[in-house]
Amino acid sequence: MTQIGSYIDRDSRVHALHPFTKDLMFIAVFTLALLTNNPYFLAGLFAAIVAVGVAARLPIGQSMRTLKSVAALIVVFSVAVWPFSLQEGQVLFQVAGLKAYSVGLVYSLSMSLRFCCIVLMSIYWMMFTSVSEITHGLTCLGVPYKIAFSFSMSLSFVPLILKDLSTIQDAQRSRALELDKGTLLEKIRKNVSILIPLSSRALGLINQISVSLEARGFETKRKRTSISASRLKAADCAAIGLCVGLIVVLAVFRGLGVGLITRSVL
Amino acid sequence: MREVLIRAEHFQYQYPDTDRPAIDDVSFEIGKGEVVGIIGPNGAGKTTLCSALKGIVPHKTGGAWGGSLEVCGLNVRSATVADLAEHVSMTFQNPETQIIGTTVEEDLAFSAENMGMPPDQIRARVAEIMQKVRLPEEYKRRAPRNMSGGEKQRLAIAASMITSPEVIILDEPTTELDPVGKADVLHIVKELARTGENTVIVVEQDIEYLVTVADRLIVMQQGRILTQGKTREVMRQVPLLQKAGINLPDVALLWEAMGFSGKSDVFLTVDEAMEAMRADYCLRAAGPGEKTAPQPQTVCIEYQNVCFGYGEREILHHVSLQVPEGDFVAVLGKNGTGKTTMVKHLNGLLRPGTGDVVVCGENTKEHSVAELARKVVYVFQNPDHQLFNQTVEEEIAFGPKNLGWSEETVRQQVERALEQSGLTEYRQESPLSLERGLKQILILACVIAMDASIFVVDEPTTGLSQTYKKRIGDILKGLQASGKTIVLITHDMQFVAEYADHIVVVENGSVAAQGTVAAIFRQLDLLKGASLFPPQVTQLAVRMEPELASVPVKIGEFLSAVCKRGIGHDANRQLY
Repeated sequence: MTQIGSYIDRDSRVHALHPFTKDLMFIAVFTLALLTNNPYFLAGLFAAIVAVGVAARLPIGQSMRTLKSVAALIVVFSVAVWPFSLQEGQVLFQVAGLKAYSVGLVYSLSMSLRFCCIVLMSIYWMMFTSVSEITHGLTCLGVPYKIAFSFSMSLSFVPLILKDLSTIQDAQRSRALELDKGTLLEKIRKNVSILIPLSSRALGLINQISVSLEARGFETKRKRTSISASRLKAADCAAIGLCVGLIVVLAVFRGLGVGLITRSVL
Repeated sequence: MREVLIRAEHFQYQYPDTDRPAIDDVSFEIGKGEVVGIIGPNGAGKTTLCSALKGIVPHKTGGAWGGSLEVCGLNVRSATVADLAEHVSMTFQNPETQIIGTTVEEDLAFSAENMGMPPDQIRARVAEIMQKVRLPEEYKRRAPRNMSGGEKQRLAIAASMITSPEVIILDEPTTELDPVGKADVLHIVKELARTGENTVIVVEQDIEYLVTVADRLIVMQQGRILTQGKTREVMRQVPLLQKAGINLPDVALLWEAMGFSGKSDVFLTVDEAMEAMRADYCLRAAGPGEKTAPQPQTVCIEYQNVCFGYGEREILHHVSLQVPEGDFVAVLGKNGTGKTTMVKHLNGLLRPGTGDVVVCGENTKEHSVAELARKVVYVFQNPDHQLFNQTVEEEIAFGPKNLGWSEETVRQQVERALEQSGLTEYRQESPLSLERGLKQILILACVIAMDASIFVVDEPTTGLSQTYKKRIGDILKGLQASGKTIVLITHDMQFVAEYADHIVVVENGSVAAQGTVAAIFRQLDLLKGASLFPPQVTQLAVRMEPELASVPVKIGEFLSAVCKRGIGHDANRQLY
């Protein structure tokens, strides 16, 4: 069973990119999505991300299902709130005394797209970049090795903790614990029986991991090498150029207000 | 002796905030190329000793230190962890937390990268080491998370060997593995022993395999060395080892019990026992009264053509099974074969895709897990997944309170559970501070207080020494005697032989066989197919008398069945 967000090895052009390029692509999508609020551009960005997923031969259907489960709540929330709270443009309709505005409606669409772009790119990035590559890419970007390593290690720690969480829930349910029953206060109290074992397990796991890191010479003073190290190729240069170019152009547009649907919010 | 690589002289160590030394005045030498087993009951100080060889103790733990410990010419106390890492590698019990890379190659490369080895050299070394631990080349780009337990552990061992350390320490490498994984890992140890390039130190609870590869054994108890020497010299001291609570192989126990001690060297394998007994001994059919568990009538567990899967992947295929009330049934099979999925249906944690599961007359589909908890309780493998209260008493009261019982009833049930599990003296202690064996007993006590009729127990004896195994076995047997039904998942065949009445063999999501313990254990071919290995006494008995109708599964049964050829029934000396 493929776990969500875990690395999938494929022989593709995207996989073959330099770790630096892969990390930069992720950062670029994040930045671009925040630089503009133009729904056309964001829709284009979303399509481009899907195209990257296809090029990397990743399971598109599965990733969309994951996106749906993560983004559904945010999208619903954004569509329900922005048209009424961002009071710009024409009044389109009224619900229970609340006025819905045209710019607000478009902005709610932009916010949904923004969120979907960032989530989908995160999913793909973790699918086509291995932990060692993420680390190496970040060190190329100037992040100190230990920080880069801790970051990528914590990403791979998440599935381990989720697995434990579900075991703990099952173990306590088997002791007749009913998490969904009772008043709010009771529910909080019941969750203590999940949270205490979970945190002690998490600490235990971290301790075990740090001991095995220790055991494998993580703390040597020698200069580290990396098997993920390689030279930038033409495709890398093109991708880096595109990312940097787009960021520069959109930053200028942002400054000038070109293509923005509103300047009152991000 | 060969060149000495490790030398301890009156070595002592005490963890901070503890009241007795974890290692208490130990002296030993380990030579280059030796394979040394460190054995002993839980809490004997085995892991602490290994951590000291690696410098984790005391450099990362603090604490008090005495005597001297020298490894590969380095004084552990003055050397750094990083210095020692270049000479000594160590792998641990849990393969999950030792995996660092997202692919096999990355994981293997990690130590070498830390040591600053050039990438090309690392790639060559990775290929070499993968061959050594028998990981096929196509595994290089695989995600370790999706591999089996045995493969993960082999990967962890390989990863620790990548920088060619002189000393390889394996701390309980097979404890969390199924029999297939165990055999896999021990094969690697055998390979390492054969080449003689490395010094290998193996800590194990289950020593049946270890004794066949280790040159020497160091036996520890409460931080001290109880005895040490060549493997056979140590194994001859059966009564001493038994008293220390060590899980001894059946054949060694037979050697002692049948009075071979003056005549032949201690048996370490079934072959050796067979060789010594072939000429003079035979087995007669076990007498009546061997397995006279009362034949219960009412069915309390019934699987009716159950199929179950996650998504499109079906895991259980048309499982039909009946278990009578008051039975003690062991569910056996290798990991990933559907055992846990099958028993999780009993208390509604999983619901059948098609078919029904009926427990105590109730269809599990119609009840919540909490409702079913009145009839069926499930004890998970790892106590750390559920202990959270301040005291043992409160921990035990958690289940009964959830059932909505009155304060008085809860109090009575807690008292009963404390008494039945022998935990009364610990009632005010913190559950998390108990030692592992007691924690395991505590989670059993937690469900005893819920007074259900069916107990599902998942691997209760993993990594425990004989003393605790016996306590847990006796508690389960006591429950059965009071009319409860026990469903046990385990890989521990000696435990099954000692306590269970029936066996269900699960293979590829189906029930491959079911029957009495003796009837299943004698079918060596069937078991081999399911990657199971019956107890040594049974293996021996089947080889001695292939036609025997009822085959012994316990030492005691073997002793009452064995007799000298031509003399009659004689060798029946009681062991326990």
